[in-house]
Amino acid sequence: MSDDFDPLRAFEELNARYCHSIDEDRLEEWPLYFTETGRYEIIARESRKQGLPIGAMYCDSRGMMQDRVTSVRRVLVFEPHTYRHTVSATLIKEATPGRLLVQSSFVVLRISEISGDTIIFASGSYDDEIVRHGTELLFARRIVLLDANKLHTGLVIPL
Amino acid sequence: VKNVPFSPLNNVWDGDFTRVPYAVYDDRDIYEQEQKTIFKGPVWNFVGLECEIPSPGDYATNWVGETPVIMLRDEKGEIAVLVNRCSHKGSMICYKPQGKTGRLLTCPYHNWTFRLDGTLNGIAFQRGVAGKGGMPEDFDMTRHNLTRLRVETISGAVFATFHPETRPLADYLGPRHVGQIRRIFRDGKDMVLLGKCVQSMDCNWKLYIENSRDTYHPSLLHSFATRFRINRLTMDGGLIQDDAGYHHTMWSKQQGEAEDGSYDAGKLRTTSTEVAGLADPNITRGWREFEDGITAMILSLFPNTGIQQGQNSLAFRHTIPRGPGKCDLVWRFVGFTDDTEEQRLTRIRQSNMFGPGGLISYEDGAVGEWIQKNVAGDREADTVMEMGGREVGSSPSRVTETSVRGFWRTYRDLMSA
Repeated sequence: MSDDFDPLRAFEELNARYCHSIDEDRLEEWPLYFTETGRYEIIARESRKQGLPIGAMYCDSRGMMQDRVTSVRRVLVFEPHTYRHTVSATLIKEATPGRLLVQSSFVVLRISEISGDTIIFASGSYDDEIVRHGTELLFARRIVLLDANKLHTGLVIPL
Repeated sequence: VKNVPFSPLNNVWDGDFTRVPYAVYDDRDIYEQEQKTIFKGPVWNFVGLECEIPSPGDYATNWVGETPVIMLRDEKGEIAVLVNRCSHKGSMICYKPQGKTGRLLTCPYHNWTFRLDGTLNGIAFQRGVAGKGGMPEDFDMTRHNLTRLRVETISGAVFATFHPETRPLADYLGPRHVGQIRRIFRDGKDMVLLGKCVQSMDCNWKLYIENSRDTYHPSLLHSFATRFRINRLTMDGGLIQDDAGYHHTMWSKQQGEAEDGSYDAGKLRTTSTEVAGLADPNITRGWREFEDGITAMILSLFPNTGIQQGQNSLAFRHTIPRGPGKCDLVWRFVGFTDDTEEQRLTRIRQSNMFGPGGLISYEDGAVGEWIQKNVAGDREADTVMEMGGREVGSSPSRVTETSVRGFWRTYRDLMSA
């Protein structure tokens, strides 16, 4: 990465695009933020601490993420809803040429289309490994560590 | 129904098992009666897995109905289940999901201590301070123990009962279901916990339990399973009930689908979505773990425990009531200590189909909430369940609601007794 590369700003731009893609219902873009063999997991912090590998979602390829999107769009039956992400407390843990390790905090609100209710759906932290792929930055790993090991109704759309 | 004593349930339900009044899903009096009559009645309640408390002194907390309990392993390695409520002022004694006890359980409030069998060991300042205060001389230490439940295990799963007359676990489950549980967990193999997640739902606990016994819905509601040929009603399959209707098993074989085209001809919604196969089939890919070729088997044990073999994804589903219109579904995903790395990864990948984010199981939580939303406005109306006839029993066909009727027969027998 060049001398004028600002890792904090680079992360925040990448993450802002990621969040807007999900929150504005452009889910098809979500897998494209990952490398071909990228890993995406949603798991409770407590499970991670205990070394339990299974959480609420586990994808270890971009294809698996595309299958989730296809299922959301054309297969799953669920009450229509959207999310609103807010991300803060970004910590650049490591920045080397071509690779960033970043931790940040998130809160996701869930907005139900039928009732109009907004609830605090999830909070936690993103544990990210970001790599340079040509001119782009992509997630090689995004682990969504949930503060609570409980999800209301269930989880259809990725966080 | 004739000559049955008054109960909140009898007050709203006078028909047979093909009709269930919506009031059973939100009535506070019925809910409170269930706590006593069902969960503290002559049933075995799931309280956790042996592998969650591997060593002496380990404990894990859980709920039997809404009653908090502690499952622990004592110094001798025996499992005890105690009500997690101090006999003094009613505080929770173990207030973490899991942990280690010492030789004694100590209530955090006034430091009363209990032995691991639940008997009262000591009272802080029992003799007072400097000869003043303290408990009366004649206070009977033997009459203030923690309530201890009777415990039995099967294939690494721990069950407990409050009721002195509950039949032994093997009799309660019956030979058919004992056989299916031992089949899934290959009795004697060491189990390992792979994950635990909670799905909270705004619906009565019985709506989820009904769903788990409803063999008619999966291939209609769960498009993912149908589309990717994981489970269709046209596949070889069936259901097993014990004679009383307490417990239910649904099974199917992915390889045995009927070749008469009845699915595609019916133009069901589940096949009308055109999905060109999976981009990464690893979500559904597995190995032939069971010699009988059964690829899906779901057990529903009365009152509130499910056991799942979905291909190679093995799980316990425990539904905890949290008030008339709320419940928590606790998923425990398991494997075995001798799984290879590849087998473990397969179970992890397949878990995408199950749990709170499950591509198949998510919808079971959603429908319960949709029904619950409709209860308040029509409490005197009934659901209709005549698919497969009006009887209760095992069936070679899954196009039936016999197991749901079985649940209600058992439930009503207990609630009306």
